[in-house]
Amino acid sequence: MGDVITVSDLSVDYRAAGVVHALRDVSFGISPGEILGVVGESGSGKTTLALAVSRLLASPPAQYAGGQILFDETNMLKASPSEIDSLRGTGMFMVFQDPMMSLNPLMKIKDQIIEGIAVRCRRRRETFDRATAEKEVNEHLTSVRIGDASDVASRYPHQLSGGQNQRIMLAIALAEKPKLLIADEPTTALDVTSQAQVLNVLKVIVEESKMAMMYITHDLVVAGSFCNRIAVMYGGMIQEIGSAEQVMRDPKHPYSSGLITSLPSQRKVDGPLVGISGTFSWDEIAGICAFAPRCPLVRDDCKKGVPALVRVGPGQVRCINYGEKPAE
Amino acid sequence: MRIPSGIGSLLRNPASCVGLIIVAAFYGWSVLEGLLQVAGIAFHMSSLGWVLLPSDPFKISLNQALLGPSPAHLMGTDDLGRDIWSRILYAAPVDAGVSILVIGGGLLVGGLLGLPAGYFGGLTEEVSMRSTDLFLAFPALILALVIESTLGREAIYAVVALVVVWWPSYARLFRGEALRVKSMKFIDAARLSGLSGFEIIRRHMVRSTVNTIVSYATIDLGSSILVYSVLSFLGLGVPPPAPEWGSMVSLGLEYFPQSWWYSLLPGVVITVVVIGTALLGDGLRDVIAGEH
Repeated sequence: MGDVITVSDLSVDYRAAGVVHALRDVSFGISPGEILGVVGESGSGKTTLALAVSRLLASPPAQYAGGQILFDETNMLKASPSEIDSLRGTGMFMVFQDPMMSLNPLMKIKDQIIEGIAVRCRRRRETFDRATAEKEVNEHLTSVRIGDASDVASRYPHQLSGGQNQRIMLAIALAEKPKLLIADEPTTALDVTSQAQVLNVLKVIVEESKMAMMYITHDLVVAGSFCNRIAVMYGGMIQEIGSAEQVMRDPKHPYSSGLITSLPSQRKVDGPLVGISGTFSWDEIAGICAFAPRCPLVRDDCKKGVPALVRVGPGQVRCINYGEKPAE
Repeated sequence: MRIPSGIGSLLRNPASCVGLIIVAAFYGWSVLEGLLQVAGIAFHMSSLGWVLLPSDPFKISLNQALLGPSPAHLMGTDDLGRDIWSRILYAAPVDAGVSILVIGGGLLVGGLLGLPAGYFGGLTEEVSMRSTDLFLAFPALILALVIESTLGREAIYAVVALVVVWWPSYARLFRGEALRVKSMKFIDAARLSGLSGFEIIRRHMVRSTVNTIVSYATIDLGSSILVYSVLSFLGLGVPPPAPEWGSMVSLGLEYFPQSWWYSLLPGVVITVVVIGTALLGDGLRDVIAGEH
């Protein structure tokens, strides 16, 4: 398929007092130049998925319970720590949710970007010298829309805003030129204008360098306009995956449609805010459809087993009622 | 900027101000006097070593033995009529050098063992922390005494002995700091940038632990002078006739309490320096804690 990353039937458990099946049978692939949006509410397993793919899960409590992750022809779950180190950075890079915490507070911005350049030069056997690296820093800072690049470069993270720091992380991503960029809610900490800027930068990077990208968000509007494909997660499982247009226009899973009808922008200004009733609880979903306890279309059959992910048109959906929309 | 504001708040606290003055005077004087002594040896003009002192610290004048403090001899004279204040000043570079080398060596060994232990965990941690425990299980002073009496009576062997007893506490401190810093998000980010474990330790962890370590090490400078003085008090310091603070205290005990200045005043100088480092280290800790 030529995918940069192929995840098949990945399952992850958290074992502490009890066992939580944080991820169940997650499968997807991302091809070069493609953006896969991973959407879901808090606790749906999005961040666990990102950490699992990058092998950053703290273990214990996390435990891989099955499946495989094939990245660039390497089986990530069987690779040795040094093999994984050698895939990070130029292979896969991750931008975290909180930009203030992801940069070393004691290092100047340029030194942190140069660190990325040095890793790339070492891997690609390019010659590294500091003067050209400093020039490159300014180029990357300019391409993530930071004005006064040379001024910002010699500052420390605490002297910059959250939006600027997030763009610095993207500049490091540019310096590393990874094959897969994982972005875990990179714009949550940003105001709308910075968010639009950062997303535009990301889109250009992905298109220019044919990078594959996994974009994790709870913002369906952003995912719909920014991603090529969308995977909707709930209860640690992919409930629906398909092209962004199809999922937004014609969601098959009742949870996807619930998310879309919950968007405030679609309601009248003075109308009530609509949500999905009920709350998520791991205790209620053992052996049944994860969304059944909150689903408006729930039938007795929904509680007789976990539905399989089945192909419906161009996408896949994990629901025995697929296609049926809740009555409004 | 961070550092100037730190020094500002350090100076606003009178106690740490006093500590800073004492420590700066002690190490400043030691560097100056140490250079003169080295130059004196290099040019075969040992008198260069005491051009700045009130009098020659080695000059024996038995008719002036055991004189009490006076304007001519600020801290009196010893049993051979040598000026005690001059001998204290002459001995300062050795104590300063020993303290810097001991703490530097302790930091180096402790850091090399403690940081990887905290960062990597597992077998690395078991091996280095259990060997730390092994060294901590011996009473420090006795271990130092055994090592130095085996190696010989030289300041440099005293340094070796003190580093051997000093590094374990730093290994523990560094391990704890490594555990704290390891959980921070930017370490994950650094791992994802493709840096190896040792690069992360060298580039990210060392500087993140500096704040905590600095105040601790400053206080320890004084403690190492104290322990070194104990060693020379017990007869394991610099061989005579070279003056040494601890051995002066010990020699003077024979003439105590009639010639109280001989033993007491060198002891007071040791105490002042130790208190100075403690005050400064304490002040540094407050400044650093205030920043977070």
